Amino acid sequence: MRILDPRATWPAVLVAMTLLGFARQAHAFCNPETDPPIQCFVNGEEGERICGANGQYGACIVPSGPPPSNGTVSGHVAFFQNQGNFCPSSPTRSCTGATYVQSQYHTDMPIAETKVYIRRGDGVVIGAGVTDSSGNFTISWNNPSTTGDITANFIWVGEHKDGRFAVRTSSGGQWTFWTPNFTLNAGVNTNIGTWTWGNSSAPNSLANVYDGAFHMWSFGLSQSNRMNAFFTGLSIYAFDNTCPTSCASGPDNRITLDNNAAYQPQARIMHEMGHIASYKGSRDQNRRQTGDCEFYSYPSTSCVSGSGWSLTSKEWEGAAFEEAVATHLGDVSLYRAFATEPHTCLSSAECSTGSFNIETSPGTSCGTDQNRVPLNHIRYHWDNYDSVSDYTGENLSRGMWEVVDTLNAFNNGNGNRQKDEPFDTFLGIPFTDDLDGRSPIDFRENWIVWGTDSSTQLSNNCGSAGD
Amino acid sequence: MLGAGAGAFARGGAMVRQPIAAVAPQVSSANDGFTPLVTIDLEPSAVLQGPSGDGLEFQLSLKSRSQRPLMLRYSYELVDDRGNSRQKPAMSPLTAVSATGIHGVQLATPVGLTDGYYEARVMAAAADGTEDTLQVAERYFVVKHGAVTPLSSDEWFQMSNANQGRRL
Repeated sequence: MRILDPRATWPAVLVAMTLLGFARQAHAFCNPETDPPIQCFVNGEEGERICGANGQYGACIVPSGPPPSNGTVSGHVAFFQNQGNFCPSSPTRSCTGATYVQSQYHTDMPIAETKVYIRRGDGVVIGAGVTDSSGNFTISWNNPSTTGDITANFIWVGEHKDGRFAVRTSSGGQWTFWTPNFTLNAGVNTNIGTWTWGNSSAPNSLANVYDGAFHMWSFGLSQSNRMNAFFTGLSIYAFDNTCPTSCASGPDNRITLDNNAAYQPQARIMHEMGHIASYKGSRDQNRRQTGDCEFYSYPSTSCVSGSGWSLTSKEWEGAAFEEAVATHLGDVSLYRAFATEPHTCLSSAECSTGSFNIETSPGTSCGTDQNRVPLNHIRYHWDNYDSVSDYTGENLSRGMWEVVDTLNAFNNGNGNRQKDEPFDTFLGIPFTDDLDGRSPIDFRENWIVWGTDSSTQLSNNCGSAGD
Repeated sequence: MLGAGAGAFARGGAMVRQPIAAVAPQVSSANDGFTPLVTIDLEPSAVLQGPSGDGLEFQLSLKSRSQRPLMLRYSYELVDDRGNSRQKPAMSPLTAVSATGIHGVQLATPVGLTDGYYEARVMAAAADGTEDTLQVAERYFVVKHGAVTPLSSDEWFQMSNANQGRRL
């Protein structure tokens, strides 16, 4: 018997097998009834080729796994509108030109242009997007760690989509507004419907502040190219009584809202954003716009504790002018230039008719110190802006951006009509602050340099105590 | 109608009043917003301990800046963190306040509230013939195992369901 040497026969067997395999793959000779599938690989994934009815092996088919865990989610978000300063529905009141009217008050209004997120059950964000101006959103989500449908929730955090402002905690932290969990269906869009924050029994004060800030930006400040370039990253701390009547810090780019500020936007969030706009327009004045307490202590030249100010109080011009600018910029966001009865006030309800209509100028005959009353300066700015004439010669109708652009045009220095005129001591110069150092006259004169004379508007609103 | 201790009622047995120390105000030197016609101040002033649980007493202060006498009226109500009314709004009588005067009153929650998060809300309307205003104050507290603890607004929004959305 002959014993075969395996070492001699294996090479021949291998050659035969290779040729056979090659022949089966390269040529159309297979029997779909009898030939099994052939193993194959695509990008490292194992698959198989099957003998088809035409007697040929088809392409390498890698079996598909479960559907990938991604998709889109859409919906609509709103809040219960509880802010005052709407234009009231009244037969004796015209709301022509008002951007916020009573029919919107105490309804569910959109949460506009805010960043929104989809968050997995363990807190990991798997999708991000923004709402449009109507509160609608559609965003993609992707959850690479699992497959198929997942449980998630929706959150928003009080931040404007373009980073113009963000509503923060009293220490600067991020708020979370959330929904309960829901199921996201993989591979398709999941519509989560309409969600709202707050109701008539318990309005959400933070959501109302967000809306006030959005309204101020969208209807007011965004009209200005300068604000589009420089008004960004504002933090709105809500709520904290560090400033009992709210306050703004330009150098910190921060607003601090007091505990009772939520529902009176015109005098609080909008007004304070007006201060920030003034600061940005003024090329970051060397100090806070209005400085210390003594600016609010007229006729005293030193601080009178708790003196405060109001629309009708008599103030040093350094305070009266700045407060008027801040208020005016807020007023612009609530009323268009063609508004017939624009009002301003500090209230969580409407401004009552007449208190205070900023289109009713007091004229040229004014009582003592009426030329240092913020309300009269507000009316001066309004007459520069509006297209309605309430006295002879009121023929200016200039964009709100000219306010911040004119502030920007003040020359550097602390001399008369210069940028830091009110703030001498801060600059290390050994004499006192010029408490009347920034006034409507400084504004008018700098504006004249750029070709616009608002003397008629100023004189018909009691003038100014500045120089 | 509101008056001293309005809203508080014991469900039997004596009630013990544990004062809450007033927090010293922090005052910033940054420029201030303008002063309301009436400044509303609502601060927790005492925990009311009764046999059926605690209640919370608030000191309400309404300060006029007007140089004229003014009239004011205010309401007080209690809701939970889901917006359910827990004490219907009660309206004060029309009250006269002298020029730059202050109207003060103590308000109280019911004692023995069920565990949960609560918001006390006061709305005050005032007019002096030239100017008028509506001011709103919201203050928060939690009841846990029957004990009452005041909350800051940060704590309220972070711990309660106040920031939870509701599907329409």
